[in-house]
Amino acid sequence: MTSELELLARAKDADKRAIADLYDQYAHRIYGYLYRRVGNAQVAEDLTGDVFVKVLEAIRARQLWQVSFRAWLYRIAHNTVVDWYRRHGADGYDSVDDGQFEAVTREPGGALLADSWSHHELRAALRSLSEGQQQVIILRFGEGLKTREVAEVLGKSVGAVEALQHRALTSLRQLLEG
Amino acid sequence: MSLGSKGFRRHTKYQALAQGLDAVVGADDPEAAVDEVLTWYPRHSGTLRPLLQLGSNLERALRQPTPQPPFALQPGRARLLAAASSLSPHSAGILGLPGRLGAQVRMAAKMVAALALIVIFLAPLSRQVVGASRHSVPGQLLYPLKIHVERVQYSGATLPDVRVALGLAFLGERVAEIQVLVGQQEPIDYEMIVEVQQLVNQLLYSAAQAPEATMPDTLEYVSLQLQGYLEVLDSLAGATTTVNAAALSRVRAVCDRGAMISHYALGNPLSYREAYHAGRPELFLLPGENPLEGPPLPVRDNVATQGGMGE
Repeated sequence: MTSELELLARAKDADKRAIADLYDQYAHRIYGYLYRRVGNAQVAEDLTGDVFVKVLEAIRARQLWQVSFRAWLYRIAHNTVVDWYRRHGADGYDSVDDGQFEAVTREPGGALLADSWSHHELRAALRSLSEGQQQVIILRFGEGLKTREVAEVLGKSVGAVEALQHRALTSLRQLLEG
Repeated sequence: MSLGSKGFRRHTKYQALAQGLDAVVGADDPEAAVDEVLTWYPRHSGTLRPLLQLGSNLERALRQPTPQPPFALQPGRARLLAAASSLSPHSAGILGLPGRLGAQVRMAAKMVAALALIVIFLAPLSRQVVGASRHSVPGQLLYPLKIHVERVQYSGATLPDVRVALGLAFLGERVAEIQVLVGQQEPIDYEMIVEVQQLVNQLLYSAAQAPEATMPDTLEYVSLQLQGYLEVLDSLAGATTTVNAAALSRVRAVCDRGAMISHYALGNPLSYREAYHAGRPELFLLPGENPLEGPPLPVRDNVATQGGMGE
């Protein structure tokens, strides 16, 4: 079994098979992230292809990741979404599939689950956050990135991301429970 | 469960929340994790608890599975591989070599540099010519160059998925050319039909060589793309001349059979793979086909006869 480090080293040397393996390994995660950002499966799938072609172009231009490949990949995905919204406006969010948040109210057990939320409320609350706050919430909780990685993706300092995260959760709490 | 002590350090409320979330999000027992985090940051415990609980809830809410991508992410994979096929490996060692180069190697390097200069001067011209050829249609001066470039690209691809992606792209080019020819009431010649047939056959062979795990997605992608091309060809039926009608019908039959084979192969990928690997695609019959007669693919002689177009 090829280790991820070995795979990444081969990808840096433009090994086609390694690049294909990275696609197989990460495409579903990136698709999930893009789906959460644009809310449309077809668009998210198309953008996933765009992201990996950009990865290839960056490897070709030797503009490589320094620390975390995962954060670098999400940064490319983030920029791809920003470009997409620049071209299509903010209408994409109108097509977000409500089903993605449904499990909030249906998860069995768990004292921490806020039974009073509906998925509509969560969706509306997320949409009311600033762009930066939405990014932090989706990357941190949707994609499971660490604060340092979120900072790398967004090109901000760790402190700035911590502050954004605090403000985002405080706003969400007020919106959902206030 | 012990989450460790954050004891005597003073943290801002932002840092406290960030570090608390690291401990709570994904914990087996989030409730207990929250309680322990609050002992680390007694100064912030009042505001921290609801935010930590919210973070834990959000993680559960947002990590729900997303809908399956419509084409199982295969188009993106094919695009990536097609783009990668033109990627030259990075020669990392070259920059470190000059100090160790022998005289012969230096001479070779000078020759390469001279050659590179020549290429640099000629490349823009050749790029322009190749670029112009991309928009050519059969009968035009640059069209043979367009086909030649496509064949070079295709022969450079080694992975089946890349070959499928390229084959579909080139087939799309042929369909677009047919649209132009029909629009200009120019004849669709015999070579075009042969080219389409070869492309479809190559597609089916390449799809049969795809990795077992991705073959169903590849076949479905081929089938859907071919159906798309069929729709374009169907839309031309009313606008075509009598002579072109026969050729159009033949091209349509080839694409239709390709779409059907890839579709039915989804139900029986093993026999499809075996038939194509053995070089006997006729063994993979569609429902209702007679094995004695073989599949009704046009071959050089019967195209000339049935299509009414001699060479």
